Amino acid sequence: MSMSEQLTRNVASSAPSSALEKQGATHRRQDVARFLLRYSLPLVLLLFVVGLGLSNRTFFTFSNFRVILLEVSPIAFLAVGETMVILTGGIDLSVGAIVGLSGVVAALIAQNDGAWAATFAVVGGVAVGGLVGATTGFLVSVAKVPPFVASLGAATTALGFGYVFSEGRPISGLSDQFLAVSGGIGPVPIPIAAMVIVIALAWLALTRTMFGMHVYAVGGNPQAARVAGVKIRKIRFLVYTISGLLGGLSGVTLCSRATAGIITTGSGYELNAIAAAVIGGVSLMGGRGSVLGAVLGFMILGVVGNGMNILNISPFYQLIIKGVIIVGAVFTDSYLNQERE
Amino acid sequence: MKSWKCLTALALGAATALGSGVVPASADKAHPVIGMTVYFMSSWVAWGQQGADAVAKANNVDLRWVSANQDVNTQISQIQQFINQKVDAIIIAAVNSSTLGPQIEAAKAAGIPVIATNMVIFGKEANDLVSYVGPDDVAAGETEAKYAIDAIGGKGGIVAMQGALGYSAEIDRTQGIKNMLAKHPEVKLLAMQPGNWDRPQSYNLMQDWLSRYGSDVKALVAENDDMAIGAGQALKDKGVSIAVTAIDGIKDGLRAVKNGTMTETNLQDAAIELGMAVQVAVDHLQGKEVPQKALLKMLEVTPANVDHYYDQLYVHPDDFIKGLPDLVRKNLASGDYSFQ
Repeated sequence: MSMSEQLTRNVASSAPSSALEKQGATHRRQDVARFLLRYSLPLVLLLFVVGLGLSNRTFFTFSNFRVILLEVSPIAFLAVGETMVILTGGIDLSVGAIVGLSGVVAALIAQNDGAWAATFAVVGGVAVGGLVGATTGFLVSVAKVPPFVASLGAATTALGFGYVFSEGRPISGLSDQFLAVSGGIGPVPIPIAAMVIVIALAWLALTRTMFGMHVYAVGGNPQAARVAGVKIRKIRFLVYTISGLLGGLSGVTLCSRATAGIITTGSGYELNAIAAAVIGGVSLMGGRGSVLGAVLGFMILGVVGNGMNILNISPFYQLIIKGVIIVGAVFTDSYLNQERE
Repeated sequence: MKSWKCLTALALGAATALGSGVVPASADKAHPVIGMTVYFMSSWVAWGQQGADAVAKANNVDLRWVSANQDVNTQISQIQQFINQKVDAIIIAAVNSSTLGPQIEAAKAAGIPVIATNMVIFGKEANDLVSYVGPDDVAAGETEAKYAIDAIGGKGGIVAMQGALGYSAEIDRTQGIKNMLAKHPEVKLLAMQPGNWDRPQSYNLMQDWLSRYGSDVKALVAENDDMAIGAGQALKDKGVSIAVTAIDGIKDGLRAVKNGTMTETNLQDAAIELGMAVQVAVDHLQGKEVPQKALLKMLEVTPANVDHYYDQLYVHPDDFIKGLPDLVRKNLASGDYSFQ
C-alpha cells in the first residue's frame, strides 16, 4: 500500500458517514457511465432494433432478418479472417479482390451443368482464394514484406487475373446446381448457415486452442512469443491463408447469389471488413480483440444500413452516419483502454 | 427536409424514430409507394433523382430512394427489402445487368411490378419487367462516331475510348461506334481501350496514344463526357487539336463544347429518364398501357445549339424541373421520347 493510498484511507475512515455515502454514489454513477460506455455498441444496436421494430412493421419480420443476414454474410466471412490477421498485428487488403477473383473462377467452372461441376466450382473458388492468401502469407512471413504492401500487391495481381479470366465481362449462365449454393436448407439459406459455422469455428480456434493462443501472442508481444517457442512464421502464414480461404468462400456464395461472377464484386469489401473488426474492438496494433466483437461490428453496420433504408434516409446521410459510427466506436474503445491503463 | 428529420431522429436515439412519421409501406392506389434502387449516386443520377422526385410529387407517390454504392450484394438486399415492405412498384437502375434475375422473379411472384431504367437487364428475366426506360445507347454511339467521321472528312485514323467493360452502356455504345465504322472503311480505328468513365485514367490513356500514334490520330470518340474531358486535357497539354465527340451532356461536357475542347456530345437527360421511369410505374399501377421498352433518343449537342441546352439545364434547372412532370407525360403520350 502506497503512502498516498494510506493517507486517503485514513482521511476516508475519519470522514463523516454522509460524505462516504456521497462518495459511494459518485462511484456508482461513474460505474454506470463506464458500463454504458463499455457496452455502448450493443446498446445502440439494441435501441436501434427496438426503435425500428416499433416504428415499422416490416422490420421485425423473419424475412427481413433473413435479408439482413444474407446481406452481411459476405462481409462476415471477411471480417472473421481479417480479425485473425489483425490479431497478429497484420492487415489483409487483398480480401476484396479475392471475392471478385473467386467469384469469376467459380462462375467459369459453374457454366458447366451438373452437381460435380458445381462442387468443383465451389472448391475451385475457395481454393483460389486460399492460394492468394497463402501467397500473401508467404510474402509476409518468409520474405518479410510489410503486410500492407504484400496484401495490396496480392490484391492487384488477383484483380488482374480476374480481368484476364473474365475479359472484364460478367460471367453468367450458371448451372442451377451452382445457384442452389445460395439457396436454402429449409428456411435457412446456406450462406447464413455457413456464416454461423465459420464464426463458431473461428471462436473455438481462437479461444480454445494452442493456435489461438499463439495468434494473440504473435500480435501482443512477438519477442516474448518467440522466446516462448511460438512459430511466428507459421502462425502468420496460416492467418493469411485462412483469410484468403474465407475470402474465397465469400466470393463463391456471393457469385451464386448474384447469378454471375463479376471481377469488380467485392471492391472495397476489405475496408468494410476491417471497419467491422475495429468497431467490434479489435485493435489494429494486434493482440487484442475477439471474433465476437467483429460479429457485433458487422451486425451493427448491417442493421443500421438496413434500418436507414427502411426509414428512407438519403444515401448521402447514410454515409455520414456510417462514418460517425466507425470513428465513435473506435474512439470509445481507445478512451476506455487509456482509462484502464 | 425529410432526411434531415430522419437524421435528427437517429441522433436523438432510436426511440424518437417513433415520432418521425414513417409511413408504413402498403398504401392505397391514390398514394402509391414506389421503391427505387440506383447503382450509385453519381452526379448524373443525382440530377435524375430531382426529376424522379418531381414526377413522384406530381403523382402523390411516396418514393423510397436507395443507392447500392456500386455493390451487387447491397442492391440484391435492397430489392428483397422492398419486396418485404410490400411496396407497390420497384424501379431498378442495376449495378450489373446480369445479377438480378432471382429478385426480379421474386418481385413478380409477389405481385410487384418491376421497371428497369438506365441499365439494361440481360437474360430471360428481362421478360418479367413491366417496362424498360433507358437511353438508346446504340444510336448515341452511332451519332457520335458519325460526327467524328464527318469532322475528319471521312478518312484518317481515330481512337475510341470505352467505358468500364461489361456495363450495358459500354456494350451498346461500343456497338454503335462499330456499326458506324463498318460503314466507313477508309476510317482506321487505331486503338480502342477502356478509360473506365474516368477523367484521370483517360488523360493517361490519351497521352499514351499520342506518343504511340502522334499526328495519325485525327479524332477521339469517347463513350462519355468525363473521358473526353480527361483526354482533352492531355490533348491540350501536347498542343494537339482534333475532333472530340462524347455522350452524356453533363455540365462540364456542355461547357467543353462551348469552349471548343469538345466538338460534340449527346445529351442524355437523367431528370427526364428517371422521371419517366416513375411516370411509367404510376401509369402501370393505374392500369394504363405502358411501353414495354421506352428508348430515349439522345439529343445531339453541337457548338450551334449548346447555349440553349446549357441555359435550360444548368442555368435555370429549377424551372426545368418545375415543367418536368408535364414534359414527361407529353413525351410518353407522343411515343417519341425526345422532347426536351
